[in-house]
Amino acid sequence: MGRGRYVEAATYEGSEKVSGVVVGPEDLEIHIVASYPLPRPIPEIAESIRERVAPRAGGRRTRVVVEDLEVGEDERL
Amino acid sequence: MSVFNRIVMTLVFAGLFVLGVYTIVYSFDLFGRSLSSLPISDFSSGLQDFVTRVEEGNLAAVTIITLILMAILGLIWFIAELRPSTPRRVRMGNGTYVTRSVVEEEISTVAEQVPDVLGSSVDVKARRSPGAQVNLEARVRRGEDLETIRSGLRTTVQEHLSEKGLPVSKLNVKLVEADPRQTKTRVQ
Repeated sequence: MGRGRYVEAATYEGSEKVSGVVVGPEDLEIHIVASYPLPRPIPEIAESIRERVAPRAGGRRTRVVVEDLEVGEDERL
Repeated sequence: MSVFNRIVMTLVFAGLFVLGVYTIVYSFDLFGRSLSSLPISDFSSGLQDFVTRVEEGNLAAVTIITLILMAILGLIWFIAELRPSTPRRVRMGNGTYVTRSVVEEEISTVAEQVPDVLGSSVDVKARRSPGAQVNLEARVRRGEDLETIRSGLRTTVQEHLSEKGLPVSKLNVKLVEADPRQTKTRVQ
């Protein structure tokens, strides 16, 4: 999960903090970090996450934000 | 626009604060100053004179030009305020976004893998419609065939981005001839 660039992307509920998910009254934002090698193009990955999450978002408008692309250890060699 | 607004509002509030301090000082006759010493009658007669000249259409050319410029400035400001702000993230599809830094890093990495490119700087602007506007500046050696490098670089970047699925609606490629001793990479 991504943690936000300037402002931390997280949701606080009681004593618990969920990083990478920002739940608002009408919006839901999911911040992700994709890792190389990418199995599919980035928009398809983001769309598949959105399709999975949207039905459970309680009618909130769901957004998926790709925050970073991480290079795996093998890719650096 | 928000920075400009903030500066204007700071100046307005600072002016109001100073005006408030003066009002209190003059209203309560503090520090030997009183309302009766203010040149209010001069100001009101000047204002009355100005309004009369406006009604009669008897204004000086400089005053008319100043008023027109103020009206144009106000109109430009109003239109700028009505325009929605530029989005921070690049839209990929319906509800899916990618940060500008991801696009910047991808383009910079692939551009610097092109043999003739010694260094690059990338500026990515998000738009309300899907796809980003990209300004890529690549530094190359002096005396190279710029057109060939530009078309090769453009093709390489476009192919890489389409392979990754990163949407770019406009790609501007600018080549700058540079001294290899002052670039990120001397030899590719």
